[in-house]
Amino acid sequence: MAKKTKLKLGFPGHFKQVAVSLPAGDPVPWEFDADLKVVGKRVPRVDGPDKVSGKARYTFDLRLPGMLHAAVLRCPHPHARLRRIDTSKAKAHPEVRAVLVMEEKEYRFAGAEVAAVAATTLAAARQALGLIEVQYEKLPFVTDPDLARRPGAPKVRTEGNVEVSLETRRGSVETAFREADAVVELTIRTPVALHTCLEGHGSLARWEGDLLTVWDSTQAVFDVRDSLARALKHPPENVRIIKDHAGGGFGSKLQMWSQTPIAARLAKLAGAPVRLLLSRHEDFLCTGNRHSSVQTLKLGASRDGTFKAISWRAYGTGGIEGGAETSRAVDGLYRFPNLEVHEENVYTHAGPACPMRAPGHVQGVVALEAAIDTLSEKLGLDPLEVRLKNDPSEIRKAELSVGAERIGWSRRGPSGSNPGARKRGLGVAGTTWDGSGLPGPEVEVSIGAGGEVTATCGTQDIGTGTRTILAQVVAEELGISAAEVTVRLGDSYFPYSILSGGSLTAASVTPAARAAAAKARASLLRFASKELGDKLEDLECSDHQIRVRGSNRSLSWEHMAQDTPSGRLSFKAERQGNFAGFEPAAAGCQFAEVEVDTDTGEVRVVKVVAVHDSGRILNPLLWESQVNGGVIQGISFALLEQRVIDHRYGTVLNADMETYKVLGALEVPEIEIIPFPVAAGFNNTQVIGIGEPAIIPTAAAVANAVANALGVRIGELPITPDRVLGALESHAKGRR
Amino acid sequence: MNPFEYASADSLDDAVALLREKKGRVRVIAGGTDLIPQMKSGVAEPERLVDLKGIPGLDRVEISAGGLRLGTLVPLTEIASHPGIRESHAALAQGASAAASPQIRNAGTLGGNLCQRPRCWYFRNEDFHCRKKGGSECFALEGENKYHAIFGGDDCCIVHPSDTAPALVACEAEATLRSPRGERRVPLADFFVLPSVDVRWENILAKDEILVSVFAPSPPPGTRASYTKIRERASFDFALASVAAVLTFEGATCTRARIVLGGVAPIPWPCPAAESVLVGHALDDALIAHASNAALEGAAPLSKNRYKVSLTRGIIRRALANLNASKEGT
Ligand SMILES: Cc1cc2nc3c(=O)[nH]c(=O)nc-3n(C[C@H](O)[C@H](O)[C@H](O)COP(=O)(O)OP(=O)(O)OC[C@H]3O[C@@H](n4cnc5c(N)ncnc54)[C@H](O)[C@@H]3O)c2cc1C
Repeated sequence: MAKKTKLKLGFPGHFKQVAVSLPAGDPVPWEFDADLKVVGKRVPRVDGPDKVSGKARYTFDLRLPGMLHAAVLRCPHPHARLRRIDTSKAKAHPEVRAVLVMEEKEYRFAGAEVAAVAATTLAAARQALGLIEVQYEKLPFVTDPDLARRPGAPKVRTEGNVEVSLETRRGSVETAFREADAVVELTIRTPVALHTCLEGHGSLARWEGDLLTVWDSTQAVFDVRDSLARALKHPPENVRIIKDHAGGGFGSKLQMWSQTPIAARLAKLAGAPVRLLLSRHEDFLCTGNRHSSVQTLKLGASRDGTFKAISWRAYGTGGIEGGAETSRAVDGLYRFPNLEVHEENVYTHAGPACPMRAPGHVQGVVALEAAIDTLSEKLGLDPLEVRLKNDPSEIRKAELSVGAERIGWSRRGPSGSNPGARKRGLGVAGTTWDGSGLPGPEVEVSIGAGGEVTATCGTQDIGTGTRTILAQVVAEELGISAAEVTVRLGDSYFPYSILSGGSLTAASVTPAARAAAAKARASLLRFASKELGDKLEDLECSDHQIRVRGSNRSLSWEHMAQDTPSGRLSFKAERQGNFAGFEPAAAGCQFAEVEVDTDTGEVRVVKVVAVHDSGRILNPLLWESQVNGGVIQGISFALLEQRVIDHRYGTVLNADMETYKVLGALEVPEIEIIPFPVAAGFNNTQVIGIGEPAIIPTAAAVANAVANALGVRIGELPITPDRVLGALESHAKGRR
Repeated sequence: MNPFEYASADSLDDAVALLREKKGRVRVIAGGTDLIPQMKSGVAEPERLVDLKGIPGLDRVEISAGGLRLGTLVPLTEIASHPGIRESHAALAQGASAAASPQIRNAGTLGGNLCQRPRCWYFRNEDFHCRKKGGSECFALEGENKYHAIFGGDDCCIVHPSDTAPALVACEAEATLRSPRGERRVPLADFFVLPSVDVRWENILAKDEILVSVFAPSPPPGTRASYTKIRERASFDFALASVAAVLTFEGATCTRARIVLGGVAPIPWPCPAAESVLVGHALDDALIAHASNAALEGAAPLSKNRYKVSLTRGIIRRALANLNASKEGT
C-alpha cells in the first residue's frame, strides 16, 4: 500500500509542502538538510586506482586462451547491391578459422558490413579480407539532406526520404504573430556530430556449449542480451553480457551494433572465442552519430518581452535512421501560449544516427536561445530579463540570477559594440531534462560470513561513477564507509537494471540500493533484538555490528551471517515508480564569455559559468566531473566538431581523430561550476541525473556570446574561422 | 598494412645503398609519426624501411658565427626550446613549437617535418585515387576544399603541411642532400616543388636520396622574425594559414624582408611583391596594409576557402606590425 504523506520540497527560500504517495516498503526520502555521513561527500571513485594503474579491464584489454581476431569487410559505396561474392580464397588462408557473409545484400551507407573473417591474428584477418572477391552493383544514392528532400531524389526507404516526425499545434500562432509587437525569424544549422568515446566499440564472444558469453562495450547489458538472443534465435537465459568497465558511451552504446552478433557467429563457426574490435575509422562510420538539424524558428512577443507564439519548423538527417527531433525542450524552458511544431526526418545514404548526450535538446536549444537573443535585440531588452519573464521554473530563475552575477552579466554591452579586432561577448542559455529515473532496477545487498558488504546490480558504470554512488548509498544506510562496500555490476546475470543513458542511472539505481540496504539494516536490527533481548529502539547499526546504545553489548554482522544456512545474508529491493516532484524536470543554465578575433575568425571561450540542479548531489566530485565533461563536449560541438561527407561520392572524409576535431586541453576555458541543491522529490534518494543537463546549454550560450561579440549571427555550427570571416564579409557587404 | 622489411642504416652510405634496391619501394623512416600513419592508411606501401636513427651525428645542432646547422634527426621539441635557436632564428623556433602536439614534437624530426606528405583528406583516403596517387583527378578542386590551396594549386590543390618549412625558407636556409651519386646543396626554397612540376611528390628528392641537414645563415644585425599560425584547434592542428616574416631594420628603415606563407599553397609560398613594398621604407600602417594586400594578389581561392584570403592578409598585417613595433629603438 502506497503511503500518502507530505514532503518538504524545493530549495531555500522556496520550500513548499508537496503531497506525495510513497511506494509501499520504500524508505522515506532523506530530508533536504539531513545529516548524512557518506552521501553528498567528495568520495573519490572507488575504481579510480584500478583505472589509473591499468588494472581495470576494458573489452579492448581482454584476451582468452585460443581467442581469434576478427575483421569486417565493409561496402565502400553509399548504396549498392551485392552481385557476387567469393570467399574461397579467404577461407583457404592458413590462419583463417571462419568466414561469414552477411544476410543483408543491399548496403545503404559506405561502411555497411558485407562479410567478416576470424583468424589467428588480426593482421591475418585483415589480409584475408583482401582475398574476398566482391562485385557490387552500384545504386543511385543521396547523402545531402537538402538534395534528399527533392522530388525524384534516390530513395533511401521505399516510403520516401521525408517523414514527418513531430507535429504539434496549440492556440493560434497566426493570430498571435499578427498581434505581437515584434516577430523574428531565423534559421540555424547544426552538423552531424560523432560520439567519439575514448573506448570504441568491441565484443569478445565465447561459447561454452549452449551458453554464450559476450564481453561487450555497452551501456546496456540487458538490452544487448535481448537483441543478441533475438538476432541469433537463442534463448536469452543462455546469453550472458558482461561490461565491467566502459570508456564512455554518450548514447552510442545503448543499442547492439553489428560487431556483437558478428563476433558471436564467428565464434560459433570457428569453435573458439572471437574478439572483434572496431577501429576508430569504423567506429566513426557505423556506430551512431548525432543527427544534423536545419531549424527555422519564428518567435513573437509583446513589447515587454512576453512570448506570444513560436513556430518551429525543422528537419535533420540521421542517415538511414530517423529520430531527428529538436523541439522537445521548447515547453520545459519557456512558456509559449501559442505554438506550432513541424519536424521531419530526412533519410540519407549515411551511417545511422542514435541518441547522443541529450539528443535533440543540444541542437534545439541552440536555435531557441538564438531566437530569444535576436528577439530581445529587436525589442531593445536585456536578453536575461526576457528569459526571466518567460521561464516557468522557479529553480532556473534563481540559477539565472546566481549565474549572471558570477559571469558579470552587467558588463554585457550591445552586440558588436566592442572596438578593435578582438571582441568580447557574453551569452546565456538554459536547460530542461527529466532525469528523475525509472522503476525496474533491482539491487541485492549481501553480508558475507566475513561481514563483508556487497552490492550487486546489472547496471553499467560507463565512467560516470555508478560504482561509487552505489557504494555511498549502501554505506550511508548501513553506517559504514563507501570503501567497505564492494559493488559488482555490468553483468546480465546480476539483478536486472535499465540501460545507462538519458541521465537515468543514478536516479533509477540508487533508490533500489538504498531500499535493499534499508532492508538489510532492518533485518539485522530485528535479528539482534531477538538474539540480545533488547528493544529495537535501543539498538544502532554501525561499524559492522548492531550495538546496544549505552552499553558495550553488541552483535557482529559476521556472526549473524554465519548463523544462516548459506553463511550469507542477502536482501533485494526493486526501484519503485516515481512519486511527485517539486518541478517536472531538472533545470540549469550556463553563461559563456568568448573572445572573437575579427582578423582571423578565431573564437576563444574565456569562461563558462554552469549553474545546475539535479536534486540531491550524491557526490560533488563525480557531479562536477559530469558538468566539466558536458561543458567541454558542448564547446567542442559549438566550435569544432562536424562530420564531413563529400556528397558527390557519399564518402565520409574525416573519419579519424585528426580531421574530426574534438576539443583539446588548450581550448578548455575556466569553468566555474555552481551546484544548486534542491529537494526534488521523485524517488527515495531525491536524485536527478546530471549527465545530459550539463551539455544542453553550452553550445547555445557560446553561440549567443559570439553573436554578442560580433553583432552578427553565425547561423551554422561549428563556429569556425571560415564561417566567422565569411559572415563578417557578407555583413560588411550588406551594409555598404 | 602490408608486410615490410626493416633495415637500420649505420652510415649515410649504407642508407643510400639500402634505398637503391627494391625499385623505389623503399622509404626512409625517422620518428615515424607521419610514415606509420601513411602506411596504415595505404598512402605508402613500402617493401622496406630504412631507419636513419642509427646514423651518428644526424641529430646535431651546430651554432657558429656563420649560422645554424641542423641535422635531419633533430627533434622538433629541441628546435622549439633551444635558447640559441630562439635567439638567432626565432621564426623557426616558433614554427617548430606551433607544429603538432608535444608528443609528436618529441618523436618527430626536422627532416621528417620537411618531407612529410600532405594531409589532404582525399589523398589520405584509400577510396580516392587522386592525381597525387597517379590518378587523373584532383577531387578537392571541386569538392571539400576548405583546407586547400589558394595559390599554385591548379593541378592538385594540397597545401604543404610543414610549419618549419615556411620559417626556414624565410631564413634563406639551404638543404644538404645525399644520394649514391654524392652530395648536393640546394636553397630550401628550391627543394619544394609545385604540382605543376611534379604532382606525385612535394620535393626534389630522388627515390634514393636523403635530406641530411639544413643550414640557416645568421641573420644580419637588426633582424626581427616571427611565425604566426592560425588553426581551428590550438591543441594540435595544421595551419589554416601561417606566415613566417623576417625583417631587417637599419634605424627605422626596413632594409630586407622575407615573407613566406604556409597552409595556402602546395609549397611554402614566398611573397616577393609584398617584400619589395617594404624594402627601403619605414613601416607604417598604410605601408603594411599595402604589403599585405600585395601578398594576396593573384590568390585563386576555391569554392570553400575564400576565407583564407582575408585570414592570410590579416595575419601578415599583424605579423608585420608586431615586428615593426619590436624593432630596436622603439
Ligand atoms: C596528429 C598530427 C598533427 C600534426 N600537426 C602538425 C602541424 O601542425 N604542423 C606540422 O608542421 N606538422 C604536423 N604534423 C606532422 C609532424 O610534424 C610530422 O609527422 C613529423 O615532423 C615527422 O617527423 P618524423 O621524424 O616522425 O618523420 P617520419 O614519419 O619518420 O617521416 C615522414 C616522411 O618524411 C620522410 N623522411 C623522413 N626523414 C627523411 C630524410 N632525412 N630524408 C628523406 N626523407 C625523409 C619519410 O620517408 C616520410 O615520408 C602532425 C602530425 C600528426 C600525426
